Amino acid sequence: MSDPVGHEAHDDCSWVLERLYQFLDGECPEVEADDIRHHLDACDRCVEDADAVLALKALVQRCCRQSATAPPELRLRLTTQYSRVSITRIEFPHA
Amino acid sequence: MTVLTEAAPRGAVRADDWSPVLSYAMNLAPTDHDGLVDLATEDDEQRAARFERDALPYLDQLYGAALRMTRNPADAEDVVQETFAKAFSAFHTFEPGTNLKAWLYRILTNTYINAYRKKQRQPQIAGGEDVEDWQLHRAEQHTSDGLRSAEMEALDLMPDSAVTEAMNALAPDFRLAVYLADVEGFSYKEIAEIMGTPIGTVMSRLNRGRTQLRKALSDYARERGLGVGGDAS
Repeated sequence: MSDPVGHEAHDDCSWVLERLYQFLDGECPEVEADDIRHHLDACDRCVEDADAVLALKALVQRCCRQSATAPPELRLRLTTQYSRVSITRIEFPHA
Repeated sequence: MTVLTEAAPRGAVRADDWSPVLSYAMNLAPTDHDGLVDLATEDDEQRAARFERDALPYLDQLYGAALRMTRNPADAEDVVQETFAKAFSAFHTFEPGTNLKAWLYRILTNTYINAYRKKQRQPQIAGGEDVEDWQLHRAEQHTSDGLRSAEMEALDLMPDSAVTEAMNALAPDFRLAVYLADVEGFSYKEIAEIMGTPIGTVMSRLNRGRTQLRKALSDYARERGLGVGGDAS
């Protein structure tokens, strides 16, 4: 029976894989991140999984970032709409 | 009635009403551009100028996100147009110095979600939160098909269209979470704010979305023999 907060308790693959996305997103609490790094130092299979997840993240970024330019008509419509607002009415608070 | 705000010294007239706002505004962190914005004395024209300067530059990014969400240029335009209209009318409630990008994305997301829920355009959302846990479970065990090294190679060879297709096949909530995290680089906390959900829900959507994505891409690679061998049939 190992202590659930010790390193040994976290030294298994499913515990690491459960937190792998979080870890690779930089969203893991530092204590857990240390345990995960500790595990990755010794476990090739988890390192492979981590590599695959990183590759997936990079792939999604590469494929979905492209060609995000708003159509010129939309840009024109919005800029004319919001760049110069003419004041048609003045309201005084609680006047 | 063409009086501008200089002629209507609000602060002086109703100092008791405005002073809390003033002191609050004074404590705000500087914006990227010009330091403090005095919300209490800012007039409509100044606010419009600030909107143009700070919010409009996000147009391309918001349009790109809308395109990913709606998968349709005409719908994306509508969503962006409505987003800017809402953002403009609510701009006085935005706290200068806080995260404008996240604020705009939240409006965009709500606009999109309202639109698709209303029109029920995407029957596959039925899968949404109710996707069986086997897919999540799968992520927590090493894949047993010995394809991981092949998977890496397959990912390198993956055409953009396959990724886009796999993304589009995800339930909208999952797709959005993955998009906001991996493409836009938002933190979990920001995604939680944008999607109006607890962080735990964000994590669950990300886990499930990515796991489904990974499976879809592995299947794609295997079917087409991408990567090492394609010999796991």
